[in-house]
Amino acid sequence: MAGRESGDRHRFLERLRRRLARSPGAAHGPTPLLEGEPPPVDYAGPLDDLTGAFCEAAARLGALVRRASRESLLGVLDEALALAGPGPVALTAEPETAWLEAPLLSRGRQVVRPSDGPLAVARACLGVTGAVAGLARTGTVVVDSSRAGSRLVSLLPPVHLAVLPAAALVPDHGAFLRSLDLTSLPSGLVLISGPSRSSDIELELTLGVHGPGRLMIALLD
Amino acid sequence: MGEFGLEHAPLRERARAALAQPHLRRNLRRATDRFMEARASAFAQLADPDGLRATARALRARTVARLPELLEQFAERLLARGAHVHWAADAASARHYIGEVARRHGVRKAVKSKSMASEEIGLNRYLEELGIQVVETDLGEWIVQLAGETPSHILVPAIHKDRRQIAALFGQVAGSRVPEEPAALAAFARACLRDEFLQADMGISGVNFGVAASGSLVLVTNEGNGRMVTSLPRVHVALMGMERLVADLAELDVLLALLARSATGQALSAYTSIITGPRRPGEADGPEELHVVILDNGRSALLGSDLQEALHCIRCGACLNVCPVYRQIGGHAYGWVYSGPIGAVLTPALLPSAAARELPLASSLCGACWQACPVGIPLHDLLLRLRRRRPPAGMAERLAWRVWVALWGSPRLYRWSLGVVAALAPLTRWQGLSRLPLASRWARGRALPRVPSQGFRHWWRENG
Repeated sequence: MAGRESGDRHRFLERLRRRLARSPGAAHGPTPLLEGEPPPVDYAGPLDDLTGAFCEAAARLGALVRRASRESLLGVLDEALALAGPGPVALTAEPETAWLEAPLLSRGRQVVRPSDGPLAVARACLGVTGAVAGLARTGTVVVDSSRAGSRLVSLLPPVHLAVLPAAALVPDHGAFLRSLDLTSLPSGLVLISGPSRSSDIELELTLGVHGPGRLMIALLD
Repeated sequence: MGEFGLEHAPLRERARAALAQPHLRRNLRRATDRFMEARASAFAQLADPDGLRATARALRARTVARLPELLEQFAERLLARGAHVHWAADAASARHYIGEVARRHGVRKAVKSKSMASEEIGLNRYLEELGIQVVETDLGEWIVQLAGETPSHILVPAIHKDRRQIAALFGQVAGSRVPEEPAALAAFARACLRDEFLQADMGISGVNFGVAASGSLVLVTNEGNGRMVTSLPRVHVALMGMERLVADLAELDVLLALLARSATGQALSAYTSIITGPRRPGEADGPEELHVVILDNGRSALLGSDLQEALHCIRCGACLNVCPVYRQIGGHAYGWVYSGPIGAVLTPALLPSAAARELPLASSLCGACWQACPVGIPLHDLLLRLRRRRPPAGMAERLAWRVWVALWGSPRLYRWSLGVVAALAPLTRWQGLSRLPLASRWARGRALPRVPSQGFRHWWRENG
């Protein structure tokens, strides 16, 4: 359903056009205008090993990275559960995560689905989501909320476990962004680089101010 | 704005009040030094930082030159995604629209993530007058809101407060003593604000970038409050200055590579959210309604003027951290929302106020701001252009300049004037300049240069 528009678009834009028709002066010569698409950002240093670079960068941000196969993923889940302590677990129904419901139930954990609502997700001690991409240079995981069916599972619980297939690793945010189809973007994409952080009190770093204070990434081979 | 308000006291007095707070200056120095160091190491990760800045400058110039068509495309994409769009020509129009949305939804509580545009339009006070409780959720913003103050730094709004003062503020909220350790203070804030997020009916955010080609909103935060505000309440209102656009995701690539690096020295902030429309069928959460308010509020007056480049700003704060004036007096002394060199340009450009026209004087014109700016805005030049727009000088100053022009416009009188100065050379050793009756204000903090008794031309005739 299309949204509503208010205010006077025509007058708003007409004023801009009228102003722009005058030519601005510039002391550093006329400001050059970019032609064509900007080239990809060039970073220093080679990037031969996406996996190694990703693990190193994510660890530097304070994320816990564990390499796992589909079988050993349960071991990583157990580690995340131990880190999170007792309580329900919020779980999305993505290809990497949906099958974890049975193992969680067999471990005596209550499983919360996004459809149980924000208050239920907020009570979970751990949120488990998939990830659609990993950015090697920055150790970033990308969570797609349309695919996850939720914006909150990766946000409200104090610990977030992201299950990232190694095949989804790309060099950097530019490679990821430039690969997206603009006509089919999900309602929410979030590039997550380490746990929630703040330095607002005397510049001292504190983790988990609003988002998860612990981020664990299971890198699936 | 209290004692630091633009209209409350002249710039000179506001600066003096700031300089009289030793802990403010100490904290500012620590914060700005740390950001500058972090920025330097983050830029070292780029193969060609100067080339990237040049690209970014040309990119911003193109965006601003194409604003009408890009805004139109942005709005069409938003509407097609089911978002509502409001064109706000001024602050009153934006406030009124947001107030109406709140009224229609019976909003009693709104949570906000950091938005300078909302401070610019005085949104909090307006909504509070409508009986709506507005809660700032960025940790630093919440602290200054509890204290009834305004931010003193774009990224660390409560940089002027120490842990003892913050614990006292939180103690008033808790009704009991709160420990002073930053981790404990942050945990207390998390618990309080978590309840606010879950109860709020409306979330209000700013926008770091709007993507014209997809109608996406890009929000960058470290704490995650921006994600909360745009995910939990059933209505999300995003307030966007009209120039905060990129054409597409390739342009976003370039600006994201520069924004966090310039701001905090991070490669990327903890959370970069790309929001395209409200909640869709099959999604369990996210706002049911998304409203995007596109704000002009004086910005269009910069288009086609010699200050147009001020609209290239991406609000990273790098120019604040390097500015020798900002590093001493901090954000409050600038008297309005935007501080530092960019504030000294934007404030007089956006506010029709005589007090705002003083701000371009608060600069040494050293150009450090221009060198730090990730999109290469020649801020020192813009400051000079604004100085030229100030009302003409007083009679005495105009007379002095006219005499100078007359003397140095003619070779004979020029030589004569040098002879006079050389003859008066012994006088320049006198340090009583500020005791002169007419020049005392100008002379405060200045000293005359020592003039040798023999001028260069004279020396050249004898030794050349």
